[in-house]
Amino acid sequence: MWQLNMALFIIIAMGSFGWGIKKALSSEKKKRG
Amino acid sequence: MAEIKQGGEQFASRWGLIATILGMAVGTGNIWRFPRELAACGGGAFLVIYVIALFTWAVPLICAESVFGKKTRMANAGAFKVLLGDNWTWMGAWAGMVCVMLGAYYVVVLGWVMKYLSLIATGFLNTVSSGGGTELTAKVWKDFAMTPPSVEAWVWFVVAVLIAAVIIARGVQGGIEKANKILIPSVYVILVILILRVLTLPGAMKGLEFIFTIDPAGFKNPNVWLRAYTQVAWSTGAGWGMFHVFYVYAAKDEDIMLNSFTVAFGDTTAASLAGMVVIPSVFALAPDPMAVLGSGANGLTFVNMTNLFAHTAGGTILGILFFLALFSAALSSVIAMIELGTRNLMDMGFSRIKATVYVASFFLVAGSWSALDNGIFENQDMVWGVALLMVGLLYAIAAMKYGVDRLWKEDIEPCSDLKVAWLWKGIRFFPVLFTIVWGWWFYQAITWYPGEWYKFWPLQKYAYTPGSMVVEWVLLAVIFIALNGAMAKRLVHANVLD
Repeated sequence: MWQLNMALFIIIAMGSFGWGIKKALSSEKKKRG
Repeated sequence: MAEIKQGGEQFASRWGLIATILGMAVGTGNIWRFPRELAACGGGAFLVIYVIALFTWAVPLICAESVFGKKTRMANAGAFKVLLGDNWTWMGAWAGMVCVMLGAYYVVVLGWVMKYLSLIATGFLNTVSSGGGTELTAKVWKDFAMTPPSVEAWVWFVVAVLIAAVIIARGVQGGIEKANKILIPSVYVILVILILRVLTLPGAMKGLEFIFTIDPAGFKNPNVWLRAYTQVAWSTGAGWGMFHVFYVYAAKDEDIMLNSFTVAFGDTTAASLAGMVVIPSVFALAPDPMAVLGSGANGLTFVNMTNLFAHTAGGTILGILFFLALFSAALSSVIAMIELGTRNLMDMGFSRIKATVYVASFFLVAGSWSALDNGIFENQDMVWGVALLMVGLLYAIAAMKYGVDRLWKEDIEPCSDLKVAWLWKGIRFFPVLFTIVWGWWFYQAITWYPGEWYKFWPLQKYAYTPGSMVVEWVLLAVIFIALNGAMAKRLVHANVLD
């Protein structure tokens, strides 16, 4: 059960961080053409 | 309004800004406080409440600070003046100065970390492993930093201030951005390397099991909620005024909402990675893991972790990496604290070099007392740590006075890829959360000193009393109220971009 919790936490916390960085950088790339 | 001065300083890229605000947020609190709090609160339930606190406390406050910096292009004092009127200048200055006071003693920690980095690199762990154990690590720590006057700790403190000041003096792109683009990725990479090594130790998995097992009783325990909210407040740096200062240099179309969300979770990622290093290594190596995890920040890091590394294969490399991560995290935060003071002075017309010299000199004077005497360090940590919660309240009040909806429509929403208005508008509930968390700390401080809670002198004896907190807060407020008119007059040099 704790393994599932760990996977969920990694997906939510670290996944949100990774998603945010990716979105921020791709949006800057788009703006710069 | 601010004087228009074209061609101000600006981050070279969005990644530069994100790395810098992450650098501000990720500090020693992620590496040595988060694992202790997580352990003290029983693991999983704390993590769930922590994520709730990110949405309700951290993200709205980070947005509030960021919008103040980006909108006014001035630091704390100038922004309060421009957005709320001349009479509010002192309040912005007080908010900024709380962070400078915090920085002045926080640099001491950077000095400690540098000393231990050099100690481990020069073979200290071999002496510990050949029979010294915790008795030796405790003695070395006590002689170095806990026995006033701690002259060696003061020397390391001076070196730390000078390193940070040189980076600040080189400017936004050439100093701050460049340094954080190296420091911040290195924290994450080092923590991942450490996790991979630590998890190969027999018994380490028990630490992971402890972290990620959710005890439902934790959700019913008010103490766990209060500690999780406090940890979010002190770890993310939300509402301290430092995000504000870096947004003075942000691009005109910078996305405040997405950046705030990203940084809140970036800080949590660093903290949880640190938890996955510290707790499993303690479970694998210490005979009584909970006693080690409950041994305070200094005890855990400088006494126990050092001893644990000494008794592990490849411990010297592990120790160097661990203290390198701490060094990167601490230095990136110190940079933010010095820059906050520097930008406030630049808004009054000082050049970057002059402002850096003045602020670094202030750090040297104000921080020396904490470097030389740990009793003073403890007092400053309590006084300005609790005051930071109040700075968050000032930002929430200022945002509400200017108009929460107005700020959303004028400044946040037009540049946002993440249009989540409710997350920003949660700032309206901040005063309620503040009252609960700040009130809890204040109440605790009263109970620690029955019959003497109002006393403040000597500071070492009454380090955590409400008396010492109120006296120092009020003293600072009186100074800035007296200087309000003069400051308002000089605060006209905004960082206006081309």
